[in-house]
Amino acid sequence: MKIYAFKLLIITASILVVSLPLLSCGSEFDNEGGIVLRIGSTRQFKTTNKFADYWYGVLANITTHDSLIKLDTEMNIVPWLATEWEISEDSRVFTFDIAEGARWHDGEPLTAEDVKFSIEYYRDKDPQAGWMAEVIDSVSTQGNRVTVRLGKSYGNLMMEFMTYAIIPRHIWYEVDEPLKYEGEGRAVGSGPFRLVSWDNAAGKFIFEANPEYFRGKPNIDRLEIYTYANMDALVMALVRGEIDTWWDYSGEFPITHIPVLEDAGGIEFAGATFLGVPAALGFNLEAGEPTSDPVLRQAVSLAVNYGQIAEIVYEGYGSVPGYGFVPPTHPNFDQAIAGMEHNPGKAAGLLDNSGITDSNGDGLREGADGKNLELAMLVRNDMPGLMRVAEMVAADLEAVGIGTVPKAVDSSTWVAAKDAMEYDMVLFRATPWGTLMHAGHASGYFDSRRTGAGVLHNLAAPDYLALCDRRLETAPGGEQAELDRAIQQMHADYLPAIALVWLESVYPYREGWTNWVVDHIYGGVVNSFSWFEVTRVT
Amino acid sequence: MEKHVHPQAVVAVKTGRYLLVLLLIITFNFIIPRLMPGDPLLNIIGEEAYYGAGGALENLREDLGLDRPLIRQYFDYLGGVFTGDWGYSYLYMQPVLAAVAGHLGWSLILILPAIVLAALAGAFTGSLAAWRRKTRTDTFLTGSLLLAYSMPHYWLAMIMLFIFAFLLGWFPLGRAVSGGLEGFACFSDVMWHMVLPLGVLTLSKAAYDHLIVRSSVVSIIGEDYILTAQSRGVSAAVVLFKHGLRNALAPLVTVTAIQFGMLFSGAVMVEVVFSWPGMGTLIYEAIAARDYPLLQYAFFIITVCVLAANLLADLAYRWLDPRLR
Repeated sequence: MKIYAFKLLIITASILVVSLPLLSCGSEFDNEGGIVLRIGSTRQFKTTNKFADYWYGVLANITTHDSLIKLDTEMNIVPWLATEWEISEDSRVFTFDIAEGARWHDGEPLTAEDVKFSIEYYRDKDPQAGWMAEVIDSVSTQGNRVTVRLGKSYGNLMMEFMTYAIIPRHIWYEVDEPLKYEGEGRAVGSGPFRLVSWDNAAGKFIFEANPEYFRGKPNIDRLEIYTYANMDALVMALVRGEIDTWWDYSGEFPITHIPVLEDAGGIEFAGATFLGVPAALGFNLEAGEPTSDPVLRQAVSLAVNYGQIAEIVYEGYGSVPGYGFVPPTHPNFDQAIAGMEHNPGKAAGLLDNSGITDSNGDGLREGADGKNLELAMLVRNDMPGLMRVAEMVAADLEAVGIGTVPKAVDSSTWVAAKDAMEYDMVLFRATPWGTLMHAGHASGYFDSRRTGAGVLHNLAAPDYLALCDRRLETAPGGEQAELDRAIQQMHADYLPAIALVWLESVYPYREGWTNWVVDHIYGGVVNSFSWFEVTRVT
Repeated sequence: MEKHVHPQAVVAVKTGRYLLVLLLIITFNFIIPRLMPGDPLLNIIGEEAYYGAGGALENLREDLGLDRPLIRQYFDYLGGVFTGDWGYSYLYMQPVLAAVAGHLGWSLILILPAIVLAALAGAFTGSLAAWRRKTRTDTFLTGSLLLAYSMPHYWLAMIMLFIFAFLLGWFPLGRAVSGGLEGFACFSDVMWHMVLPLGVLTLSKAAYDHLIVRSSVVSIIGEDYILTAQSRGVSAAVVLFKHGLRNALAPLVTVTAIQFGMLFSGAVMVEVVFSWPGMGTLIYEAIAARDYPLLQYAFFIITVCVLAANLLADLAYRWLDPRLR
């Protein structure tokens, strides 16, 4: 064998590999003029049809589309496409005045007819808006005024409308199957940005500022959104300056990556208390189940070491939650409700006094059937943080003699098992929007009459259901504050679930950007408000 | 007296067997996804939607044909396989063919070169290591490739991403293209993006091929015809690569055909690390979303590719080994 030929082959191959980077044609990060904001996300998008792709729909709500109202940083409802509104005393008639001067990206004027069409279209054709069919009777217009008449009182309509973008009638009126529509104009909206391009292979969206936006041109001239299939690559891109910040709706920035960013330098952080609950433990309240016993649920709540979860899993960014379930960022938060208590001795005492004892000394207490108490805990395995929390909770419960069997399953199996009540305890998370749904303060998760992929629908107590109904019937303001506090108190009394941690969310961004606005609903610094406030310091 | 079988008859019989296997696998492709618990429609409407009202969910179920009896769904699916009507993806809300086509292309762009390069590299290094067995060359080649083989694909991928993309900045941090390019610029851009993921797949597969070929060549080197060639003064390179390797290729062909299917699914971790939009990622998402049509036809494509690879391997055997003709 001619060794020099082999060596020549190796040298040639090495030169080829090393020179390959030179084949790249220019940097995709060259500034083409104007202020460009580059955002990284690990959300994977399938289409630019907001009906067909849940995540694109969320992205569209803060870029290309507008809703009637928004929630500001103080959780107040503020005007957007609706400049003014009136709500009847019985919360059955809602009237909106639509902004003058709003236009669609194709130049057509946005009118009250578009708003009427949008509400009816969602009600009649969007599977995600099934609640509208129960609630909305009719929609009418007069000039730039839209009147929505409900079949029953629904004080939360304003909050619900926050997440429904108005769509152009002239594009969608002929589309019978919105989920399958891939035609022209599907991405046309009235929002501060227009979609210029989406390249799935490049994992890249490009949006350009809408100079004729009815609220004024945004500070950002161009948005580039880069998708990554894993968070590690995204963090590397942030450190290298290939992106300026991160976005994820309803998700938390992984705490484990924060030290890397801090060490790298050039990264700053915005923060806010997460509106949702990143980790919570729900109970099967069906009669006959071990966890239907309120004493057992109370004992479980006392056994968990919340401080340890906050310190170890959330690395100090978590805090001990309260019995009311939702964090203080919620309006009408009831400060009188106690924080979760870690008291294994008290837990053991409660169990002993109720007859749930360890009679054979094997370390596990026996249930009513005389067998060892081993509670099945359903956990989603696509959320690594929750797996760690599950392990810690299991250890805490075992310390007081309650056996726990974590069952890690994928999200679809989790939903099926959860809906079939095939669990004793279920580890879940409550998203920001999820806690505002229904009668608010996470009632959407527990009201047994609700169904949804992420909800427990496990609390059927008549007084609780009546309270939810009363809250839904109440218009914003007035009695709502009292009812909100009552709902939180009922969560503390019934314990359909216990929050395991509250979180101080962290939103990293590269230095040189300033004046970010943190939006509790849409996930951090990337939101409709920031477009008009954020500036680049040169 | 040996019975003579016409070569075309052999091909026909083998093809017939593979078609039967294909039919069985098509049936399994229908059954297995439906054994998984979970409702595919819930993934469409999202986690926070209240789906109990208005019958919207039931309308969607009817629209997608999920309300039909299973046997009817099976025959619809079977018919679709042969007529090209592959139905609608719940996850992508577009025809399955459209959803799959893009991802399949990107997978093949990685897998085919990886298979060829790995086979060539493994054949070369395996032969060399066998020829120089128990020398430093053998120790170095076999030891380093064994180390690469023992590393999980995703771990190797992360290391390469960290060193070559993050620290050195020589290659991009992921994806298949930069976007907005055409012609040769686009081609070279794809090459630039391919280097790291292709390198990982090639190295992982070449390591295995090296071990197979080394073992096979070692068993042949002691044969009389090798000694005869050497004694006639034939050069070492010709003895090794013309006489030795050719007779040792059969196991490599077998392994390559088997690995073709494994690479489709095994590449998912590499695709995630490099954000490469291939079939592995598509299948993983389809499983999580219980997207039955997408799963059925993605598995069908892989099945066809694997069976075709195995059929070609079977036929290649006959070319490699005249005794089988």
